[in-house]
Amino acid sequence: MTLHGSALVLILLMGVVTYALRAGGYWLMGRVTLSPRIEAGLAYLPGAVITALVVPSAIDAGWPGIVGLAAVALVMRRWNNLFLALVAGIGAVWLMRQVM
Amino acid sequence: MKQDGEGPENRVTFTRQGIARGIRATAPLAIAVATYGAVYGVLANQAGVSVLEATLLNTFVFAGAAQMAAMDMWSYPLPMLSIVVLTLLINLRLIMLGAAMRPWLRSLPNRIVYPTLHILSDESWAVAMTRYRNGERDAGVVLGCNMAIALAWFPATVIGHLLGSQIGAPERLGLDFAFTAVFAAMLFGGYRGKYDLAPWAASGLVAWLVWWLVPGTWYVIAGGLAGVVVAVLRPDPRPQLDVTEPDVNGAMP
Repeated sequence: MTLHGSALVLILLMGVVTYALRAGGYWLMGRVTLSPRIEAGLAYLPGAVITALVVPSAIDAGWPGIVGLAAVALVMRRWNNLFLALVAGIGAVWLMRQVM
Repeated sequence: MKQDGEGPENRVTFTRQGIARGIRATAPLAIAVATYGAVYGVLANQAGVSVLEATLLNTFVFAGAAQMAAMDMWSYPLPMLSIVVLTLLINLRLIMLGAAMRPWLRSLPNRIVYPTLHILSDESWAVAMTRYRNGERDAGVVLGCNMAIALAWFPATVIGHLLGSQIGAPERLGLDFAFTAVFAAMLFGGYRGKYDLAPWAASGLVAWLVWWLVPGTWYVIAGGLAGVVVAVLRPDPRPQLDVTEPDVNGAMP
């Protein structure tokens, strides 16, 4: 159970930076006034952010990633179950890596 | 029907039932999160980071991707500036998560919102926002989702640390795909029809380009903004659907 002094300082710095980002976006949105049109468009922000997280990481995983994505899409369409989709996605990637 | 930002959110509440709903809704992701938690524990062990230090990182930083990346550079004397800049770059995306939660949380007191934001994670945020889109207004759900992820993450990191190198490469089992699979599932599950396609396509394309060209997580910010810009600029930006309203996208041109 060791704790280096410099490690503690670094951990706190990392914590401050991360919390500033977490709280900063929320805080900033309270400082700006937005037109109703932009407010309505912002309803698409969560979906757009999730897309932005998914697309590069799926492409980065190559063909297994693309097939995994298709497996997830199929399961969600058929059963709409998050856990099943997770299992199907991981299983498809595993399978693709076995055969490739 | 009501639209975001139109008047006070008189229906927003914060209840214990909401917290319980949030925990239940996030439970299916606990396994995925525990998986990356264990991987982080293994990396920490290999980097010579003690259980105490790894847990302090969980407590103060609570951002798995940044913590894992930091383990790669963790040798003494610590490259402080490099690790802090890396943390900043990887966590830039969190700005977007908080910004997207403003319409939901803004009517709540800061003493509830700001502590809740500290344990916000990508996963809990996505679960909570999917529910928000489906009509959920109880902000206790946000805290519940965050708590569920934290409850999966903390013990998993310790277990990973204790098992150390006995755990093989997660790639072998396809477990590295867990993050992508979880977010893809939430994306597909949140699909409300053709009207979502243009913002999502813009986001995916821009995110991919920026991911390819620029280090850090700028790509998440760029993709998120691209999606909103398309949603705002296209003719007839339709307000967000309410849960009681059936999907009527067939009528859209």
